[in-house]
Amino acid sequence: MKQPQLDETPDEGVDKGGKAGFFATMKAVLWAFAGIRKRSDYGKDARSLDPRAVVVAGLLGGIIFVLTLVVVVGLVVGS
Amino acid sequence: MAAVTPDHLHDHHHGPSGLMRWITTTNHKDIGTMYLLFSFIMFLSGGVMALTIRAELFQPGLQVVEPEFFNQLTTMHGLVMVFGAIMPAFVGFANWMLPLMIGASDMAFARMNNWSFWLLPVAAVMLIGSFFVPGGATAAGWTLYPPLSVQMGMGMDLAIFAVHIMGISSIMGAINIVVTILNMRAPGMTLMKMPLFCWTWLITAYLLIAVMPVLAGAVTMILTDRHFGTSFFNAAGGGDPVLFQHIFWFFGHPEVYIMILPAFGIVSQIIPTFARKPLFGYASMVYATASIAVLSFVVWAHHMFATGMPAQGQLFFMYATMLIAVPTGVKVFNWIATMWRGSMTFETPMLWSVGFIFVFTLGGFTGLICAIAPVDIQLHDTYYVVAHFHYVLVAGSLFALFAGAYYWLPKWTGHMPNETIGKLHFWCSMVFFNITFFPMHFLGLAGMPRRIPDYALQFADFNALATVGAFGFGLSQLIFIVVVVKCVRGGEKAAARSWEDADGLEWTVPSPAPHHTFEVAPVFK
Repeated sequence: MKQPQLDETPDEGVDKGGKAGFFATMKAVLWAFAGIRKRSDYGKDARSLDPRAVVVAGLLGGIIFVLTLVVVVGLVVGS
Repeated sequence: MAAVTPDHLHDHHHGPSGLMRWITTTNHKDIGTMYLLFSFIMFLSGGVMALTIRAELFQPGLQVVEPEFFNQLTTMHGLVMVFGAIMPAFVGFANWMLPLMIGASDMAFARMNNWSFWLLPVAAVMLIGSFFVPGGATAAGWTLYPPLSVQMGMGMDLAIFAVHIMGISSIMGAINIVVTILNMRAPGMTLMKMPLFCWTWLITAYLLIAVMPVLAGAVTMILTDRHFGTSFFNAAGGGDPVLFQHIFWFFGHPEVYIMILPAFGIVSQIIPTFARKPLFGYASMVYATASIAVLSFVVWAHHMFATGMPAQGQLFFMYATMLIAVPTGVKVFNWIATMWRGSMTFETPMLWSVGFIFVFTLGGFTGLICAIAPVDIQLHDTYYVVAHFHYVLVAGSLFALFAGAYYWLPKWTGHMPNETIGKLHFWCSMVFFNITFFPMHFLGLAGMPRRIPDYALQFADFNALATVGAFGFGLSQLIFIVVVVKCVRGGEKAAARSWEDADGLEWTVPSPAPHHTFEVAPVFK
């Protein structure tokens, strides 16, 4: 999902109002699961992410993580 | 990086003096000091219990204590060290350093802060006092598993109430830390400019708020099972003892991270100072910390593989647990990358930090081994597990606490800690720690169960070695008292920026830090 970009720091998912969209938030949270993030991306996150959205995205990410593992386990046990 | 505007630094204290000063204080530095003193006293108490355990295990057979008392000692050693020593020590660091690091004048809820602390001695008296009640202290293990915990004497009730009180204290402390960090940062200090110690504590505080009520619920159910006719954990009444394990470990595993994340924060402050380089991958450190915190909620049953669970469950918890190694590995990588080609010097705080990385990583690896379900079935309740969690909690949490203490002692006391004695403390601790706990891996692999006062003859040599190491380690900690006393009484004057390349707002105030700091918020650039 391509959204309007900040003038000086272009980044997908960040609009001119400084609020990150759903996908930008999810992207940040999923990078967090690996524990890796480029400093520049992190800087943009810190400016644009809404903390409440991050918490929701984190919970969503947790559910996705658990469901992914359940599917993997199902495949392993089923095979 | 940091700049401070002229501040009104008051070095004097208002209000009552003497004992009443400490009882009524709302000053974060006073309360931090009390937390640190309290935790060190509890550390010595738990240490004496550990040495009694090791004395009994020096030789096969029963020589020093009765088996019943031995079980009380193992239980109380765990409870005292976890709830009385490590957790309050980190809260002490938070109290002392967080306001100084973020440029706040005090903690957000200063009176609640006082109450958070003063609940702890009450809980400690109940916990330690339980040794002297009929039946003695609880001997159910620090995990308080039923049916043992439902059957114990009144020592168990005292332990339950002590855990309740310490839990309330922790929750209040955590709320205070969250509110302070979120609302009282100096102008210009955005979250992403915050020192990493503040980040790790912010995340830890959320973990505490999430899981301490779970523990309170679990022990309350034990209490009602014991006295009010409920059967939550009693199979004869339709309950399930394994339910307790699920509830306990839903608290217990995040608790592990509660005890290690602030340690990560301390080490992340120290290594850049003595490597004279900014922390490598600050952003990824923050993300890894958050990631570890979230994942810590979905791995609890790896403590329970031996209870029997479906293959799907075993695989789920095994995979989830092993995946935590990814963000943890990111952290270790970042610390090493920070040191890489840095202008390193090895003052005492740096020695402890490097020692932390080395030995904590070993503990992390043995954790991975325990995470493998079929291996864990063999290792469960053996000395391998004892070795693993002491590598994580002693070489992890405790070493980081010492690193932090040596690092900020100049700020607390106004004098530099004695390097020679400090290094002696480190090397003695490092050597004796490994003499104590490394052989326990072999004992566990050979099948020696934990929590037993007597053992088969083939375990004798490694046990004797571990006991020698334990007494060496215990006595080495007395060196720390010498360092602190010398530091308080005098020594080389510490500059405001006590270490050459130390960075952060805490180094912009004089050493020792005046009683009141940052009454006018500094401007952080």
